[in-house]
Amino acid sequence: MSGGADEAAVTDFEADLAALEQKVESLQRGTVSLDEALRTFEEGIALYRRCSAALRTAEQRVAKLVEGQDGLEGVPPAD
Amino acid sequence: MTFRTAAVLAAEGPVVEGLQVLTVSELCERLREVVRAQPQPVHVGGEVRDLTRAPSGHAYFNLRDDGAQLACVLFRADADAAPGLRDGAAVVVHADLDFYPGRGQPQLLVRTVRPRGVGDLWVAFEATRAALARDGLLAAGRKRPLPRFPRRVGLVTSETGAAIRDVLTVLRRRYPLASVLLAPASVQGEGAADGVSRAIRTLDARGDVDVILVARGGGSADDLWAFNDEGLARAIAASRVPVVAAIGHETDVTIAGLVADVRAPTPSAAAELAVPDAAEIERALAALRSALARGLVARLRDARLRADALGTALSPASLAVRASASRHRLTAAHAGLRAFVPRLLRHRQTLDAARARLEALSPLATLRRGFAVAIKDGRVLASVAGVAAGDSFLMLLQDGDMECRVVRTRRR
Repeated sequence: MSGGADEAAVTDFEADLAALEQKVESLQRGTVSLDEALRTFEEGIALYRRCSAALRTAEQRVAKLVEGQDGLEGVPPAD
Repeated sequence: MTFRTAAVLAAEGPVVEGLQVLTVSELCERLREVVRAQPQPVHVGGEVRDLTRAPSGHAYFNLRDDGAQLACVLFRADADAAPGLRDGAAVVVHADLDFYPGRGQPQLLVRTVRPRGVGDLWVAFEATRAALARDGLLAAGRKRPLPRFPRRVGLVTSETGAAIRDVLTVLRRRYPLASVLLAPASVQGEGAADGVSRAIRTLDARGDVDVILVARGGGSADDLWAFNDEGLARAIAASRVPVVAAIGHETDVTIAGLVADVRAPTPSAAAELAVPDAAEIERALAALRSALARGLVARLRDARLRADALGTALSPASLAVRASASRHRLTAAHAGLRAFVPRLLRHRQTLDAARARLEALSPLATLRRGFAVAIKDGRVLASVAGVAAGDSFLMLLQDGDMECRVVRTRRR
């Protein structure tokens, strides 16, 4: 099957977005220490950059199933 | 049915000795109950005769075959549902059976009228729908939410149709992060329903598809007929992966659309429903980034203000004076240490108490008790002197701070 890298990117995207939302929330609560706040901020910015880059650089991959002996089977995408 | 006794009737109206006499209205009311108790609604095929359209907008006609006829009423509100209604037309009506006491005859309250032929298909459609409804497959509670960020979209459609282009275009524009797995299937004619069912089952069985789109462009009722197949409906219902169906145009109702988790008006709309919009996500990301920066700035300012406030509170001259006074007294006591040990102890206690009070005065402890500290120009406000209306200052509470403005001052 196709696009192992793509799939990892998307899985990460959802997790990254959730992590970013969590960091914003913890920073807004203001209960973290100053050191922690700085670290949270830096990590949050890194997550933001990753998510943003994933969206900008993604290209649609289309794969097709073909008729095989056991019905429809997967083939790698024709680029 | 119960019969009244003569005694009861005697109390109500005219009576013939020894006979049970009903009024016509009473009998018609009974007949009405009997008629209405029949299974409803009914589908009846026949020929339209004696059609009259009343000024009120209601239409009256007889539905007849070789051996019988029935009076029919089509109310104005349903007139749109009967495009093929004309004298002599062979039709199938979908109606409730009623009894009209005014004429003493049963009548059909018609909801829809379909030309025969289409009408037959429609009866089959209704039968399939009823079978699926009996099994609970049309229940709203079965509808599953679509994943927020699908990684892979399964697409069941014809490789040569218009739908595939529309779907792929929208998916690429909105959310290129999702890959597409196409399961080609004929979407019209002999074997189409089986092919589409098989494609759905194959995609579902893979385990790496997050949402399945079943799409077909517009066409005639015959063209779309495969999507009214009961087996296909059951394949959609059995899929563990949520299914979005877009068959024909918005006005085309298919069984597949009824069973799917989401019914989309067009293939493009199905694609829009299946994936999020990357542009929207980018805006949300930008907002999160700003929130991060604001959060950090607020946290830093808060820390600096707390430090300033602490420094100010600990430095007032009065505290220093009191501390040095205690020290003086201690020094004096030291001179007479031997003679005045008990007094020395007392001084020590005074000093300890002073320290405890000093700690209690620390703004952090005070804030935790529900008090606020007002800070202006880096100094804690302890007096209204030097504060004027319109001045702004910062109010610290235990969990944050507020920018405040003085409305007026009043000396007590």
